[in-house]
Amino acid sequence: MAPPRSQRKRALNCTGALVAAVGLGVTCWYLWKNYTGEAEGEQRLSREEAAESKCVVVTPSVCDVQNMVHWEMLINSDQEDIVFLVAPGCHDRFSSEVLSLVDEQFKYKAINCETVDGIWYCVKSLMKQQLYVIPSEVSNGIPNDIARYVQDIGQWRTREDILVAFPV
Amino acid sequence: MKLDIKRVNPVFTWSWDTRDPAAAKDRQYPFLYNYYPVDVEKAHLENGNAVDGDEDEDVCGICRASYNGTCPSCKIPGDSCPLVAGLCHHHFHYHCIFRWLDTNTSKGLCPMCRQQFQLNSKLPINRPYLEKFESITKAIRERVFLDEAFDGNSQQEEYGNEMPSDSGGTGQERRSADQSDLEEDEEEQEDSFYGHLDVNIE
Amino acid sequence: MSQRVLREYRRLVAAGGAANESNLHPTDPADLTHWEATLEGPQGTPYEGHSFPLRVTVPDKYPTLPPSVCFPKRTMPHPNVKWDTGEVCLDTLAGGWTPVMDLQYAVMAVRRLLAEPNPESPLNLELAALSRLGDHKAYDGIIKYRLAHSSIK
Repeated sequence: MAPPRSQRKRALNCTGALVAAVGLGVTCWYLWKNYTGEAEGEQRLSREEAAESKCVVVTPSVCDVQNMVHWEMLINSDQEDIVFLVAPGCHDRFSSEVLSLVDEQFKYKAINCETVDGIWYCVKSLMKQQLYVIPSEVSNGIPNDIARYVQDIGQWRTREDILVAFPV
Repeated sequence: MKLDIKRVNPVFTWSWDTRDPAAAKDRQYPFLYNYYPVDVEKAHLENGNAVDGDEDEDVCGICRASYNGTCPSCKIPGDSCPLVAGLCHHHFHYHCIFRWLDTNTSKGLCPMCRQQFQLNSKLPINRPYLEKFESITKAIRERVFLDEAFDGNSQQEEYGNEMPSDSGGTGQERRSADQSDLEEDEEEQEDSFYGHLDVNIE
Repeated sequence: MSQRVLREYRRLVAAGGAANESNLHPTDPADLTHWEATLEGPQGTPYEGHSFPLRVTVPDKYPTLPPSVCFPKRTMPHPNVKWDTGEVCLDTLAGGWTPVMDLQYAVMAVRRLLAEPNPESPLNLELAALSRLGDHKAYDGIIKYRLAHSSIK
């Protein structure tokens, strides 16, 4: 004997709900897979392939680590998309310790700023992906709206932080 | 010696007279008052338009065609494409200067010296157009006044907002407003402008 | 085609290269709507030593309406030029235009703008701010960076 109509209807509803749940699950999995890039045959972009563009605000501590980081190697490299905004008071030191070791064709990557406001206007103009700065060494710190112009702000507190971001 | 003249082929030419009769009387040679020496080569007509003169004062500063030729809209020189002379001593084809004055951007100023453009009422060349000039420029001034009063209320822009550099600025909006003003003026006023003259404008 | 622009073209051809510093010429002599020019960076500015292509478009109602002038996008870092589109903001090309000006005058006005920016009417807000601030080293540095960076890429 065939099952009553109400039972058939209930069975259909359960099947429909099951199918919908499975579909939703597959969709979520697919989106998560694309976001993390962990599916078979895919791998996350390496640091080199991502080629993050960087902007470094040069203050006294940044000059202090020159002997360990060797900023001129980054400036002289065609592969590095990096710019140095030299704060007032650091022009001469950065020029003599770093830029003297830089090829003429790459010296445009160092921009001397005569004012602190000028540093931030440069950051906004260049719109690099990564900003590195020691806020305690820049008067008035980081402006509130800077986050609209860069993707990530690396706020260094100590020289050791610099060495973590730019390993020797 | 006796000469028999078989045939005479007279050659006539003409040129606009932009002299001031009052000033001519003071000239050293008043008997030349009614004589306007004409450079035939410069007055030569080609396809209804004169070849560019070498001196700027012989060509309309707007269309760069000779005074004695026509503006770009006309085919036949003469009274149908007249010359007018400003108080500022700058001359233009009637159609050229009014086409310019008919825009809000002109503000009624001479395109050469940026003084208010007024016809010199003492010059005979301007006499047929004085009344028309007055009525047209009055209408233009009223329209400019109303448009500026209207624009002043509606266009309140904010300056000094910090925005990422790819999002444009106030200068762009201001320039776009001027450009669209010019284009709208041209489209709306062309029919009424040429209606003042019984001329076929192509 | 505007007869006036045709006269200008004839005059440019007749005058020759010496009188046409910016090499202003129509892209297609059969259609005088689109023109090109090359601006040399003025001496004493961060643009010195660089050449900049310029595009000029002549509207139907020229010379009552001014020509449109723009740089190719992302080639001209300047307070009055929009970086992403190359659009130029210059009073001579807008409210300050009169029909006695011509295409060569417009091009020369843009060249003068390179040496004399107008920070009060900016299309590149950051460069204009640097100019108003008087931070000339940063201003020059950003321009040189843009010019060097874009030429490498």
